[in-house]
Amino acid sequence: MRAILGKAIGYAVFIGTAVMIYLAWSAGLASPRSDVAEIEAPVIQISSTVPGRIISIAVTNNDAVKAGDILFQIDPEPYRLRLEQAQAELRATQSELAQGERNIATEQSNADVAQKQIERAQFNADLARQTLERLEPLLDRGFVTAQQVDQARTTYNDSLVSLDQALQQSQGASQVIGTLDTRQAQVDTATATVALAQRDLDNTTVRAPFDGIVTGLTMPAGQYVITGQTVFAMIDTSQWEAVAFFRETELPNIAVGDAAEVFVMANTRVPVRGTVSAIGWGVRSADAATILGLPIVSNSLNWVKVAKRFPVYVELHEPPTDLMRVGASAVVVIQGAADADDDGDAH
Amino acid sequence: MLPRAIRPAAAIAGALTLAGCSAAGGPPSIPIFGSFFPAWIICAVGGIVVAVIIRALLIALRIDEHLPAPPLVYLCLAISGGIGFWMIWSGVA
Repeated sequence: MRAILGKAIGYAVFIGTAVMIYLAWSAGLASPRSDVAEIEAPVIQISSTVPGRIISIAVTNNDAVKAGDILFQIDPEPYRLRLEQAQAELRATQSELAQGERNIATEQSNADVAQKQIERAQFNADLARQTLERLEPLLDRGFVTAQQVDQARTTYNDSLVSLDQALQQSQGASQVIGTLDTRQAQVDTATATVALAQRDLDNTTVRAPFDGIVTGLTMPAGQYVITGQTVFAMIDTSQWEAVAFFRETELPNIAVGDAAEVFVMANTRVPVRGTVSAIGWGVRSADAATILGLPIVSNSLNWVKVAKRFPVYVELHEPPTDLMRVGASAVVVIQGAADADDDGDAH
Repeated sequence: MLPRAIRPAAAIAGALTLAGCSAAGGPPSIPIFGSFFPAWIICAVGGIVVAVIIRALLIALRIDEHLPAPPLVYLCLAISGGIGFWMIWSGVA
């Protein structure tokens, strides 16, 4: 009796173990997990657009700030003065432009006068021609002297010359009328200079580009900073993600859009839901490097190779704010292509 | 609050009692004294403990002497016990 029971138990244990190994293996295949993961968020370096001395810093290290909040203030005095200078230059060019308009009006009326002179010369010439035409037939009959006719002809010729002169004068007066192009361009330049100065003045107040957390702020006010010099960093708290490093052999079982569960090691009792947003396409090779066009290949390569790991990016949904720290350790379990409520045991 | 050291054991006991009703799994790593241990190591230890207990039971019942290849049976018991704990812990079962 006991012999049969013993044999039954023994073989049942063998079969049971085989089944358990198969189940565990397929479960692991369906929901790959990685305990090499970190919490990440976009981090940017906050710097000033304009150089100058920082006169006040409105935030302290590790402060949470909203987009548009004032972070720090560069001394605005030089920029205000520069703006006033530019505004004065703009006024000068505007006045120049008005003067130019008046000059053109004067030149225009001169041209009008010259135009009228043409008409007068034309009338005079007509009169002289008519006088000459009247006198010429009278000369044959002896009513007028040759002297009188010659005088009339001279007057006529003289009036033609006057008409010519008037025409040339009018032409010259019209050509003299200038344009406002140069002065207008000067006004445009001055306007742009004012806008630039205004922009620089506005940029002396540095504001938060997004909702985030101030980090790495160690300097007090008083430091002179140049354009682009990092004052501190800001963590974008709207885009937390977990970066898990999966073995390359596990990647075929992971797809973009898969549901994932992320455990932050600071508190593993609060699993965070997430979605696989991307899978890394490249990591740097440690076995080969190329220097000056030729690859450097190590001579001693291992017989047994360890699988490479690639980053898998998991976008977190409503992560608990108290657990989200850049670089925090985490564990990621991919739950397959099904929706977020799936257990992941379907395979 | 439970002392840190016995938390994983308590967690496994809790997972055992909750087997079947909790769908969500526990974390695949368990922090013990500032180090993160893979859950499967703790489950494997649990499997060995189960095998030892069952061995004592079988010896008491005098079935032990009739087992085919006893070392292999106990090895398999330890393995399947560990896998069982792991499946309960990770919510697969």
